[in-house]
Amino acid sequence: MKLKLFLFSLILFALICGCYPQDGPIKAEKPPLEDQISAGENTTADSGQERSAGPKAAVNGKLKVHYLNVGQADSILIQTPAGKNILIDGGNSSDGDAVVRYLESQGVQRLDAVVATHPHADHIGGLPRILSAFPVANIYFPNAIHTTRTYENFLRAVNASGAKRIRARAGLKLELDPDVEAAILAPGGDSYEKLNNYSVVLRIEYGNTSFLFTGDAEAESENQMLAGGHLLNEFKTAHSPPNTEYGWG
Amino acid sequence: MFVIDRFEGDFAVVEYGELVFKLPKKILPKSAKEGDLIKIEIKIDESATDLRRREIADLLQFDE
Repeated sequence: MKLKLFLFSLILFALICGCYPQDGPIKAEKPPLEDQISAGENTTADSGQERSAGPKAAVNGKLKVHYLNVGQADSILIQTPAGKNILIDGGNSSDGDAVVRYLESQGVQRLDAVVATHPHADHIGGLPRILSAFPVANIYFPNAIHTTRTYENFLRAVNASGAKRIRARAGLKLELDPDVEAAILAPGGDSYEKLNNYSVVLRIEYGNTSFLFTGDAEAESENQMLAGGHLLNEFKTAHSPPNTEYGWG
Repeated sequence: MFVIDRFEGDFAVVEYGELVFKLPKKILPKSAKEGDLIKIEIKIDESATDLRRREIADLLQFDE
């Protein structure tokens, strides 16, 4: 069942050759899982995320971004050219095993950074299983209280993992790979009514390509980021679910 | 322990041990928010059940 889910997992590759001064054509390719794209020159991945405004220094190598299919939950694996692994969220509790298997299938042996965007179960539920399966260097999570067992289990797993526990906040950088800039843009504050607004927002830049991972950040957090001058207006589309302000939370 | 994990659309997503289920927001107190622990008391409505059985029985008709 879980494996089947993962057949639909989405892998996007950003392959940046660095030998072109202007932005290449942007293509979105959504292959079935395990048919990895061999992305050609000038191909970058676009999933509705932010793009950087101008050319950067030339780089060589591949940045891989895997969007795992965990239903309406979230789990994203980023593999940097230097072989560092970043995991953002781990799906629901019931997704933990499948995420672990997927990471193993991608050659992951350790996680250099885990980002738990915010305490909702569809983001952190699977992380205890994942934290017990791999050595983890650093865990970034917001300073937020939630009362569910799922969050309690997550915190206990974090505390038992031996990983460095880092309070995620705007302005922090993840120093993982010299060619990759990984900056935390939110949360900018320490007190929000909605848990979604505690979401850790991460921007990854590599060559000419930039990804924005927004968790479930909503207007209050978005406005803080915009006011801070971090973001362009396209960010406004980040969490705009159909029908309701809560969306797929 | 029943805990509201989050809201999705017209529903509250409630954690109960290993189970997760949704409750319509409209049957919750207006002040309910994520992170609240809630008490759920369920009673069997005998008279409404009887009435309902009679309504359905009236519709259950055979020609032969």
